[in-house]
Amino acid sequence: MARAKTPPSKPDLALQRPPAEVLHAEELARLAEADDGPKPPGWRLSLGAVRRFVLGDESLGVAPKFVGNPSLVDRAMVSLATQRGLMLIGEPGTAKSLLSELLAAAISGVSTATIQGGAATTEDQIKYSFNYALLVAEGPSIRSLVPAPMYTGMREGLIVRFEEITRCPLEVQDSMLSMLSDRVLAIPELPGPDGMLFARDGFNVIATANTRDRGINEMSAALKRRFNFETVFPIADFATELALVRSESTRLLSRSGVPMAPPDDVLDILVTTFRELRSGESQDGTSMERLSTIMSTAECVAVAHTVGVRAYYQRGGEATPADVVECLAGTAAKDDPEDLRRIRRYLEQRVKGKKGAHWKAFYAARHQLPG
Amino acid sequence: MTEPVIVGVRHHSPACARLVRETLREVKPARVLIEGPCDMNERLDELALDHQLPVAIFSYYQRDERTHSSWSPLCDYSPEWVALREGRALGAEVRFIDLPAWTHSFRGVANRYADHGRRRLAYVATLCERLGIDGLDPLWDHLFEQPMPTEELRARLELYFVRLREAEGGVINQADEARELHMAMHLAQAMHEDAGPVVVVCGGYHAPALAEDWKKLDGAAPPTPEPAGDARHGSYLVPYSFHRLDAFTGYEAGMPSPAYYQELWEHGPQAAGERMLELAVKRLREKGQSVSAADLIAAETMTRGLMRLRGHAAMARVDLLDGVAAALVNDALEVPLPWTRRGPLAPGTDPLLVVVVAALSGKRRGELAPGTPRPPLVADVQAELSLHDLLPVEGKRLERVLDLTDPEGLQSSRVLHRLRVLNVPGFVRDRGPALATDAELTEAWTIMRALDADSALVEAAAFGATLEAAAGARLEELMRGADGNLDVLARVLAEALFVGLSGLAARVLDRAREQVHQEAHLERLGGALGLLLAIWRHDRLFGAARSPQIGAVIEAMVARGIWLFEGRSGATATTSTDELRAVIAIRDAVRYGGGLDLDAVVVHDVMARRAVDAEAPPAHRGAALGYLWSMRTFADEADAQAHAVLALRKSSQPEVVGELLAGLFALAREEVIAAPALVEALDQILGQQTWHDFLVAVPSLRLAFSWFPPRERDQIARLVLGLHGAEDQSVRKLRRLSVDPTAMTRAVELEQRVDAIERRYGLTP
Repeated sequence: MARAKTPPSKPDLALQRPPAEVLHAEELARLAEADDGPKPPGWRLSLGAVRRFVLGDESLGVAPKFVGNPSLVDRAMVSLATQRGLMLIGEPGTAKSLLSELLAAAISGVSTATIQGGAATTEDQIKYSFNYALLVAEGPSIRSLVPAPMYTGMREGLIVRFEEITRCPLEVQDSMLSMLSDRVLAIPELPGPDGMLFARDGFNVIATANTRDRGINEMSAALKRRFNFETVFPIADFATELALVRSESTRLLSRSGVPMAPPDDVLDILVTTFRELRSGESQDGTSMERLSTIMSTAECVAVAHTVGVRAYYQRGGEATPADVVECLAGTAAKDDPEDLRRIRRYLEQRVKGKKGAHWKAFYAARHQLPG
Repeated sequence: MTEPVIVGVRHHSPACARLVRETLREVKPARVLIEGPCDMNERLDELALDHQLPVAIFSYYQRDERTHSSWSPLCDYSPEWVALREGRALGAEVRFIDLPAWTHSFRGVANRYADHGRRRLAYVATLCERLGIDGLDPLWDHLFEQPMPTEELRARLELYFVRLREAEGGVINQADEARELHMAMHLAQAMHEDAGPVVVVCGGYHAPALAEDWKKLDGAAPPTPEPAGDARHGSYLVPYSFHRLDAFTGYEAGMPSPAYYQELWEHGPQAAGERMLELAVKRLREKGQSVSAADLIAAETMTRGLMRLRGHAAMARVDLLDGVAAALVNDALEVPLPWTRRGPLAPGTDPLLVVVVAALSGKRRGELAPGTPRPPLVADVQAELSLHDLLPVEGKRLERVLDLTDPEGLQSSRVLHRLRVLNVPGFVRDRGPALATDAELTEAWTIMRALDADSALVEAAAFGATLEAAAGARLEELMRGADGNLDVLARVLAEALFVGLSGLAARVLDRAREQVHQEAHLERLGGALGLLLAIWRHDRLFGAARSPQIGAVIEAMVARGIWLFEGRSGATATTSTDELRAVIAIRDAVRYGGGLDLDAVVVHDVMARRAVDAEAPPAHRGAALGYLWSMRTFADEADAQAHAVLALRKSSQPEVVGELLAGLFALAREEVIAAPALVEALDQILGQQTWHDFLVAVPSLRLAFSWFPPRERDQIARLVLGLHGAEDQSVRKLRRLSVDPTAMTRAVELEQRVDAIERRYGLTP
């Protein structure tokens, strides 16, 4: 699953990437106006409206933004309306973060209460910290407290997004436990009623985790129990993925000043190769090893973009199958010699049997694979 | 003349069954026409007996080479079953109006009441997309299995089926056309008889057409289809099971999760959901999964939330499944949730979900009422046994030795093997060839009368009407259950040859050819390839030699084999003997497979790359080199020897030298024997090693040399002794050590340690 085609971009802000609630402000307004379904406490929209926002609704002119099973979106929303958090887990590049952003924007109207997980993430960045100058001058008080996303989310009743939660050290992850189960944040520094922050309706957490990070920081069973897990899979259907790669790469190319879409045969090679190396199964059902590198749709779009830019600015022409071979080493194999071997074997033995002039050209260019 | 009441149904749908029951009670018809095989019409009384469902009407047809069998499964909530029982209870005349299962319309159809191509219809896809639902089964539950007044259900179904048919734009396949004409003729006839109201229960897809078509007919009796005179055919009742009924496990099945729908039929959708949730949790706990009360509450909350979100008044099947999955699975899934797609569970399905799906599938097995006529298989087996003088006698052991080269002996052997395949007790093979290529040409059997042989035959009758057909269908089921295991497929192939079914053998081979592409282990491929190659080259007994189908599988296996061969890496990885056997099998296929479409150039290229690949396991390098050598691809013998010596020198480290040689010896044994230069080089390398290194190398070296038969080992030993100027006759002494070699190495090791200690304390000069 990956980014669906974005509607003609409206906001005239000079932002590189406006958040979903800004980008789709009009659609959200239309949906809110037409929304007559019951809303869970603290939600800006009903579940039905959130669903239409994510999956699209022709009658309201709402574009689909997420390509995937509708039932996944159903389960995600219902999880968020209950006392359990939502854990989106899957391969990188399957649009987990996009889905979490869309859900937060539709449910809370804000998708920016976000914690980006990493090895250096500390409790301060999750809950709250203090402004040291004020702290020294006045002592601990609400005024000197600097809220972090969880504090804000609980106080305002918002969906808080926790990206890449499994990249955080275990003890940092576990600091979430009481907030998730008791829905309360203790602030022992503050005296009186300010020392306890009870979450308001509408507060919940969407975490995302990457299956490739498994084993780096395993999640504790206690934390797992407080989440409902939803696995997001790569796009199942070839045609859907091809269309998505075509539209996204064309959009990116035009932003890079390249006035042409990638040629169809190059896209066919790219999407087929990516899908086969990702799933470890060729189109005729022959199994092979998967690459250890991520072969996501997003990555595929990036290659299509790179190939197009190179061909246009270096040669002034269209991309060719040979360009794809050169790019494969950089994007797919990265620095893993084992993956490079797999790709070489794929080119030598699998691509050879494929029919079509573009595949023949792809095979002929196999020696350009560096390394 | 009034209009007939046509109830279009989906097979195995409780909602449709309910609609049928209420319609019949309201209309009180004189005629009830049901989509079912019309050749059963004279024997509907058998169906009315007190069976424990599910049962199936089994139909078979056999003429020359064409055999066909099909099932029409019935369960408590089948609309057809309800129509049959309810119709008879109301005193109506009940008739099946569809073509018999042996007609052309059912060619290749194993289950009359499966959904076949219907689920791919354009209208279904449109509805799923519009409503945001993943596939036909959840869509069906959403639209029809929810509680609603009968009239609304009727209206919805009618609209749905009319649209379904319209969306196809009047295009209909030949098989459906013939069936609809036949059903329309039955309907026209019933209408013209004018005996009272007529109710038709048929697949919803046919309903709109049927409502129009009968009016164009004159009401003449439909022709009774008769098969060709020399064909064997018939229909009879057999017990069926939920397992076979379930789309998750059965082959060509209709609706999934039969136990769930049984509950739904008996207790309504809300109770069904609750009972199934309870049952699923119980099953999980039995399997040792911890499902806490909190988990249960979360699952129930999720389910109810999903129910409300989807606008369901009662719990639907996917609400329940989705709720359980969301609340109980707390890890990433390997493959998508089973109910978001169609067909058997994919490998890698979360074990928790497997248990839940099995709970909804149920274990119920049908039973025929006493007094149901016995299936023809029982008589067929008696006839076959007495024809070949193999009938068991009460209280006596018969012993038979069969000569397989004699046609009568071969026939008797086939009969006995077929009974063995069907697990009919009382027939035991004491000895005989293990494989079709064995030199042994006689078999010995013991035949006894077993008490439960008859009930085993009734059970086996679900597979076919004759012994041959039943054994074939049983093996076919084994084949489908092989799940990509080439070894199992090879065994089924061997069985198929024993029972003498060439058609089945061909299908097993087709299956094997598909599975080859999935095989992930070179060593497993080797065994099957070796067996197939042996059959292809040598089998005279069952006439399978040079069969093009076997040839095609060999071709696929070689292609797959070289793919896998090039896949392993690890400069010090060890290689199993089976893997090397696979390379030998590939080489033999290329060498002796004259007439097969094998791309020797590609194989050669792979081997050439592999022989010099520093990342390849040493035994693979050795084997690749051995391949090139034994296939005479070097300029001359001297060149080949030079290559081998070079490779040996490059891999002379003690950890890998034995591995490299194992690969080389496995593939190019004869060439190595004739190459003194290589033995010399090895002798030199070993001579330069320290004792410690030598001890490291010894185990793998021994394994490597075990590829040589004793006589050739003597030859090598003689050569080595010659190099050291020793006498010839000491070879024998050398090879037959009075001491166990492992004890020797241990002794050397011990001496080394003693030496080391002595040195440490300055005890040696």
